[in-house]
Amino acid sequence: MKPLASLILLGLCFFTVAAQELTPAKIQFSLPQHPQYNSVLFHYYKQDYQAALKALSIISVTDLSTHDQKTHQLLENLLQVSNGNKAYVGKLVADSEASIRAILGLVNEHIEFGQWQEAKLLLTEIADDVPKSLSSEYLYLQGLTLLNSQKDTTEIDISLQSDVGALWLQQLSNGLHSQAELNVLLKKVSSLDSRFQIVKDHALKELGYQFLQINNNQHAIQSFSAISIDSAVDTSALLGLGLALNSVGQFDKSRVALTRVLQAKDPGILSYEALLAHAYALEQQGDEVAAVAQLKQGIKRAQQRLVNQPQLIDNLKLQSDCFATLLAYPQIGLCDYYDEDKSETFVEFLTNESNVRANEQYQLLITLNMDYNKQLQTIAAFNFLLNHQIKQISELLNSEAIESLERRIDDTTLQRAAIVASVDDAEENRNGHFFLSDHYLALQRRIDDTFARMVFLKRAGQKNTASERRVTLMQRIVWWHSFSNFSKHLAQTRDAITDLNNQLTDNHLAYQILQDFLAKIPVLEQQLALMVTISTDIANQQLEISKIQQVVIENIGKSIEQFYKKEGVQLSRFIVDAKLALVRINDASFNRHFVKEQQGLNENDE
Amino acid sequence: MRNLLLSILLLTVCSVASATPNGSVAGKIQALKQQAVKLHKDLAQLEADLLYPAKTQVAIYVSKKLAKSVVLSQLELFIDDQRVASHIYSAEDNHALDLGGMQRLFLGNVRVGEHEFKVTAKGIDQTKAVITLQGNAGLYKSSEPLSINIGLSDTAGTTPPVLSVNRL
Repeated sequence: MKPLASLILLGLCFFTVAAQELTPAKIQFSLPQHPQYNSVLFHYYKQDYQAALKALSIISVTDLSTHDQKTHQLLENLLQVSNGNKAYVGKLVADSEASIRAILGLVNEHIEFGQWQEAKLLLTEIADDVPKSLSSEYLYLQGLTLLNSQKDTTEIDISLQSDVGALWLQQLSNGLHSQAELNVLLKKVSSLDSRFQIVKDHALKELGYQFLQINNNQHAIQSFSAISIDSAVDTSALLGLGLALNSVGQFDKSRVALTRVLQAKDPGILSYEALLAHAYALEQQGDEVAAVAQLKQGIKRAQQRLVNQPQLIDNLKLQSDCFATLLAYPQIGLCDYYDEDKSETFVEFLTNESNVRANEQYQLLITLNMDYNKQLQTIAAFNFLLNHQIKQISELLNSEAIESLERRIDDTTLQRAAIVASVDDAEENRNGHFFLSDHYLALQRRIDDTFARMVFLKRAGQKNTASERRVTLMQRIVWWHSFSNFSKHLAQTRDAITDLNNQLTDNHLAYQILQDFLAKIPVLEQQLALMVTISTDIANQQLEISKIQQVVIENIGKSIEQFYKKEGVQLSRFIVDAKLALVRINDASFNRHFVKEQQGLNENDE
Repeated sequence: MRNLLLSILLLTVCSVASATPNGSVAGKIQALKQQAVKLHKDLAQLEADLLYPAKTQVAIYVSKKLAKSVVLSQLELFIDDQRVASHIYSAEDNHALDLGGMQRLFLGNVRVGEHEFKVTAKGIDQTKAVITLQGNAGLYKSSEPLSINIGLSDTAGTTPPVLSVNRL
């Protein structure tokens, strides 16, 4: 009974690799001095790598120095690798911490998808360049790949009281180890503090079953008992504890644990194992009647389940259709559920349940389909963009617009020439301009009148030196006033010329840009044509997915049958075990009665 | 039931692997993607040059330089009393700003001349109290592109956090 349970439950205790998040750290290398680069980093730190790449792409590199261009390229490579593009790994500068972090992120991604060979290659590539700050992350990922290749990994030392260390201990607890190694592991896992409780609980359960397998019941009990009462681990830990307690004769305690398993009402073989163990505990405590009743009830339930199996198989095959539909149209997310699996958590289970590694499988098919959709969407988006650009360019480039622009350039050139000539002329004849201004003439008239009056007074023998001086001064003031007005006018004219020059430059630039657009049109049209061809290819390939779905449905059908065949064998074995237990209990009971009767007869004879 | 799905899905992988389409189209797509990305980069740069010419371009960035923790929750930007941009900040946004990232809050056009830039923001300080901050500045836009930084700073923790609006 115990080996069977252990075998089944070890299967249940298989964990997927716990993804270890490698968030981007602060960039240490110096970027070109432009706020746009900091805005790229803003997206990078948010782990929105696509937005970061987009922000980087609109920064023009033509004005950058050679050194800054290299840094720009390094940042682009880093973002590409962070975005999951392994083609850029070789272009990264290996001694940068950010680069190593990005590559480790990529390794993590490979491991999550079970691509161990790629992960191993990348790890080997950066082996000599890992900085101290990332060494535990590196060792953790390296350990996972080693664990996958079944090598001895216990010597790998990672700081315990860290996320990485705790996860590593959990991973180690999954593998099979010698008793000494298991003891060391138990000590290490037990020393983890409450920050790592979830990981610790899972690791303890793994260790508990491994101790159970090598008949080290005390350590098994120690492992299972240390699991937190609020633990998220399933009832299999309780079953393990019950089995271990049965083995050391602590039946009261084992019944408490096993009753909790039975109360969980799991329809699988786990509850039958718990039932068998519970009945054994009852029997050992002398409550044979209850043990017999429980065994009979269990046999009845197992037999009923065997009878129900064909119907279950049919229902589950219907569900497999639903599953395939979910794969094809993940956005629908609705499905009819049947019988015992009529559960709202079915979809969640498919995507999240670590035991069945459904996420990985599901992701593979979804990714395949989504890749096609993404490619089509990308192409459609580019088509739209290119069409939009071509339309804009066509509008900009119609002959009327070009002619109008050319006319504007000519007009502006002429205007500028006229103003320049006018200003030159004014400068050359500024005295004329000055003396011909109305304002000046009016003032001059007034001065002349005053002067005439003064001459008259002088002739009359009256001297007025002060008045003469004032008139001279006034003449000077008028002259300077008029000149400063003229200077102001001249400055304004020069500003106007500068504006015209700017306009002219802008017009020339606009013209140049339009010419650039014109040159790009054939390229754009060529791209469009190519995209149409590719779209057709992709659409054809998408059709292939329906065939894959058919294969999936068939495989699922076969798997369902295999599963129930296996469960049938397990149930039959349970029934046999239960019946044997009944016989054993009956025999024991009969023997006791027989002994009692014999004793009674002997007493009577005496 | 879980074991059933394990078995089902393991077989599923095999079927998928065998049915994966050939790589020639994928290769063509990759080559096309490279070309398209380059073209898109050129177009995006050209578009930015046309939409935001140097003469009128104004770009406004947000950054943090704080010794004490302040979580920015929202921010509004006014140019000449006209509300031109606002943003609600997530934990990720705050994390990125704390690491030294600068958020480009606004990219647009203003005419050459004097302009009034006003910012109002709300946040939560380290005592979990909600704080409201304001900052403004009158800046001259010349014919060169204008980059402005809205900085949230606390002078190395010695003063309460303030919002400043400066030319970059």
